[in-house]
Amino acid sequence: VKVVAAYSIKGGVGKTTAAVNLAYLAALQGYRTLLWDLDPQGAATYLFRVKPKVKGGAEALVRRRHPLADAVKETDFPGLDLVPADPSNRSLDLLLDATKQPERRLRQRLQSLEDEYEVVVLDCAPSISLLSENVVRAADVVVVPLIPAPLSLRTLDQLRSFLDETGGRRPAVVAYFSMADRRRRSHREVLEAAPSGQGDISAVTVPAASQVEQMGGRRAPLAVFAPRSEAAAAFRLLWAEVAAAAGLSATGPGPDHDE
Amino acid sequence: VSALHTLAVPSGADLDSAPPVPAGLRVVAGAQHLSRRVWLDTFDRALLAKHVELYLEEDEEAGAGLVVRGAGITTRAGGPAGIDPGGAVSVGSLAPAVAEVVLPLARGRALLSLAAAGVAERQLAVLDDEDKTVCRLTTTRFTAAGAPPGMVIVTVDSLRGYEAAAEEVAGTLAAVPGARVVSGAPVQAWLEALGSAAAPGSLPAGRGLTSDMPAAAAVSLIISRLLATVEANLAGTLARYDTEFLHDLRVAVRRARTAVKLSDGVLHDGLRDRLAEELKWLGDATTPPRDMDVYLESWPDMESQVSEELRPHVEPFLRLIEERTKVAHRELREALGSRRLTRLLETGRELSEANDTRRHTEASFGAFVARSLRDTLERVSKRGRRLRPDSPDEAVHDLRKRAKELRYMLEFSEALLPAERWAELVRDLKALQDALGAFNDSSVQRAFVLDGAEALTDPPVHTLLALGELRGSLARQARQARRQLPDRLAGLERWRSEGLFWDLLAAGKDRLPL
Repeated sequence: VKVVAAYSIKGGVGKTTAAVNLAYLAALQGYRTLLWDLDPQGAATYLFRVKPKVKGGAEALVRRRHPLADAVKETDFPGLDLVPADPSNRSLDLLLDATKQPERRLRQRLQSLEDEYEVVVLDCAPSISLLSENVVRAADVVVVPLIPAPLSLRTLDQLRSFLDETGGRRPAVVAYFSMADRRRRSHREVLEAAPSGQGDISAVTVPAASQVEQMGGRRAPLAVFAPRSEAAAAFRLLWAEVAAAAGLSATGPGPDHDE
Repeated sequence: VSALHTLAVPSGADLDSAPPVPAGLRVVAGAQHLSRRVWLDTFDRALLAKHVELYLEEDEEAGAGLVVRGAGITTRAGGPAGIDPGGAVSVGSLAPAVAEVVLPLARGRALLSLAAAGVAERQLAVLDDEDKTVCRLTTTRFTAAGAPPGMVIVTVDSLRGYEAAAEEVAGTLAAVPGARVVSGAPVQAWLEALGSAAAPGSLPAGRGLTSDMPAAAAVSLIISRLLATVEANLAGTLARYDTEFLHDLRVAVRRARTAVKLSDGVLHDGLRDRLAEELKWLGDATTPPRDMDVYLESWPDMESQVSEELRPHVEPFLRLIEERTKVAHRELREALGSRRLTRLLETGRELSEANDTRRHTEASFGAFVARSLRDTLERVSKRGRRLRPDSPDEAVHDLRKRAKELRYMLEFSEALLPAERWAELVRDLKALQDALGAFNDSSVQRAFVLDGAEALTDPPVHTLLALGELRGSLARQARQARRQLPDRLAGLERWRSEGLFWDLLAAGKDRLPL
């Protein structure tokens, strides 16, 4: 299973939008995909119309005696399942802290689902915390949305330092500019100056488009209701990059993937 | 998504626009999908038994295709050209994706068209108050000339994490007046309503018999059902769709012969003698073609027993088998097309209704079963105890035949005995029969190889040497099978010596008179 984490130290940058659309595109390509909504706000859960409730709460997600599989909900889209958010996800840090090897717990929990899924997408709450460390240790690819603002590259640097400090296996990073509005001079300047397409910064830019905002009203991934939009096209390109970084085939699983 | 329930609901209920669902849920109907399907299956419904449907579909959108559906799979591929209604489908013409699913289930049996119908399918989503799909429904309607109108088959598929909601929906649908839960694919429910869900003649001979019914009536019914099996397998045997038709026909004859043989004192002597004679004639007519079928099927195995050096020289023997197969089946066709068989089958049909077949009206089927099981077990046991390493082959063959009689008698009386103990006894008996069968096959084949060698015209010396090797190998197999017999016999013998057999009878559902 390949684990893709949509992560940012900063909130409100389009992290859930990325998680939902990338998970949908992975499933659309034929990968058996699970989206785990770790953010107590439950925006991804809301977008898939699932009630934000896990039997046993966050504790059930962390403790070994509760199979993670019991929390899984099938979405309305083939091949895409969801572990919904629960309000008690606010205490995930505390609960993780109380476990053995707390920094590896998420990876261990995901191991039980390895046979069922080929791609797991984590939608994480914005912060640097024990949960972030778990996410980083579990992930093969960390997808980082950046608002085209002067401070955003600094946020990326902070994340890189955090990854270096965390040690162990370092996930690939795919950062991209999100919510980009070229009508705004400050955005234009950052986009022109930033080393897009170099190192861990993708050349893909997801625009600040009305269709992205409509996701909240339509409660569906972009490709479902606005497949020809610029934003949907950007996520398709982004998924191709993320898949490559994760070592997944760009054409989807082969015919033998069930064997 | 996984299928949770299938229900047959009277067609009057408005299931396409407003099916009943629990409060708080609503239904959104998808488009109707119309197609024409011809279902294919083995004669014994091996695919449907595993809830797998194979059908040729003509559909406006997708065109013609062959579809496999069930066991979590739906595969569509280009269909084989020109399936003749009632004819067999060439297995070689199946698309690999279809063959991969179907052939292991078919176990070498031919795929025949089973039924044809127009099908209207519609998918419906059941949504909760967030408009999230919590379960999916599929309604299926079948229409065919001559078929009674009737019902809609509703499949309730649950979504992971929403099983409870799907259960509730299924419960509400099941409460529709006249609705009932059915098992298997929707087409099975439809075939069931048409009375053609099971293969013709597949009713177990002893099904539903009770201890207190008159023995003559029960035995008549057993023989009648077995002759119905013979009749059901006639067309397939004549067309040679696969070799199992002849095999099943032949086994039905053997079973009927056993029933007749053991019915001494139950059926009128005149009827019994006539049935015995006619069944022997029919059984004898099936022996050569069945033997040839077995030789042809086991040819790769037989050939592999010859050393590589001589293997190419065994070819003339295969040609001989092929020629003899043709002759044997031609003679069989004559027998199966004869007036003599027609009369026998008529007798079978009459037997199911006849009430003048009995000789001793007071004998119950329970008493008959108790006596026959005791006698047949005793005969097997006695021959087993007498068997020595140097006993002639005929003694083993005799034991094999008596074991078959016991097995058939157990099958006839299955409804009267406790299922678990019955299965244990059958398991021990089957272990013995397997060894006896292996011995019989090897020794009959050995004799056939010698006979074949004599029949070949001017056989090359290498061919004779190859056949010599084959005979040697078959002799080793026969010896090996014989060595297994003492153990297998001991497994069965404990039923007699330890009184287990009497326990079995005493624990019978109807307490058999001992």
